[in-house]
Amino acid sequence: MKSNKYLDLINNRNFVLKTQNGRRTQVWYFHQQSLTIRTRYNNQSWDIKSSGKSNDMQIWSTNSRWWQLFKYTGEKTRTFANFQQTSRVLDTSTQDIEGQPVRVNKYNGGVNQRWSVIYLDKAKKIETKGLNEEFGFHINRPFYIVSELPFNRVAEMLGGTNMVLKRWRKNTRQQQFWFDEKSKTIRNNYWKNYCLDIQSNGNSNNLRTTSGINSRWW
Amino acid sequence: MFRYQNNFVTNEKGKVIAVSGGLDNENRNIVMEQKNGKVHQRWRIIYVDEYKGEPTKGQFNDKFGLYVERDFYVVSSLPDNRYLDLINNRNMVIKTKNGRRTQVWYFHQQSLTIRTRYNNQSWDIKSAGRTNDMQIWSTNSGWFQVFKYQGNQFINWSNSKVLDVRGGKDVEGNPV
Repeated sequence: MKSNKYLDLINNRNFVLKTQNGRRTQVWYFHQQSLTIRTRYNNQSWDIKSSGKSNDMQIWSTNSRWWQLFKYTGEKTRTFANFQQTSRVLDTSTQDIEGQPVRVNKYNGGVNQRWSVIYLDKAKKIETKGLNEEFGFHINRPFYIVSELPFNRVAEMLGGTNMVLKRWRKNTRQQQFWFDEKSKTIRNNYWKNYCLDIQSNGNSNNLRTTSGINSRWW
Repeated sequence: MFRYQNNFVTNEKGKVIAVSGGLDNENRNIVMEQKNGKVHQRWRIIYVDEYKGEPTKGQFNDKFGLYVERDFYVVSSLPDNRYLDLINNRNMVIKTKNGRRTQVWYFHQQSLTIRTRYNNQSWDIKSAGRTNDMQIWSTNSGWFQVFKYQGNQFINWSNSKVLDVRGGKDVEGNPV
């Protein structure tokens, strides 16, 4: 797909498409003993839900039954096909959006069924500087978030939790933020291990920072 | 995950970060809102190594069109070129130049208001902006005290109303 999103998990269980974020839920390996594809997150295996009766994909405890066995069909077709029901391949909707579910569907040759396998030892290193054009921020370069209201106040983190509007003060790191390329999150320059976060998993309107960095949409 | 696009800090659900209630006040919460394009949702990302800070005394504030704390007169463009002045040390009028400090003004960066050298009070639309009359008043930086100078006009930042000599009459003591 156009944006080259990565296969990932939500709720550490279900397959979705997501922007690369450095989490182990995007890292997979082939396990010879079980012949399954496993996640580095918890070593569970790819699995068609309901013992293969559904089209939904998840990770599950390894049992090496047919609904857990997949092969990569190579550089030409680039599909992940179920080993027994070879017409069922890993598939996502033609909508190339964040968090789009990934399922198995009948092979149709579409770009939404094609995948690239990038081995970590061959993958490009994470950029440490320069502009990330997709996100609009320079990587690792501290910045102010300046309101266009008349006073041009800036965003400031209070106590590592709430974000408020304040007059600019020189060298106040609570008012400085930076973009982390690995997690694709905005970090505070004082509480460096905290990222910008919409409270209650995005169900609130409150902005805060959190140390529980999970690169989800909120 | 947030993206910076066209002066909005947005997420993939179409929400943007915004100043709560649109009020430009210290310690105002910053929240998420549905995008409506208003100024309280607009931001500039300025990198720390490029940020110049606020203008200081003698420097030009290009957003407000005035030099910081540099005294000036406000001269009407009506034929007699009368000066902005005060009567009863409170209400704005036009008067012939007279050397009094009630005709001397300066831009105060910290409050973003225009102040008189007479007693350092600020330009103010009476009744918290609900009238059209102008006076000087204790500084509070409410929207009804914030004006910019642009194109030979003094324009209120929020409602875009301009400083105006009543009825266009070029007579001594006419209200502004």
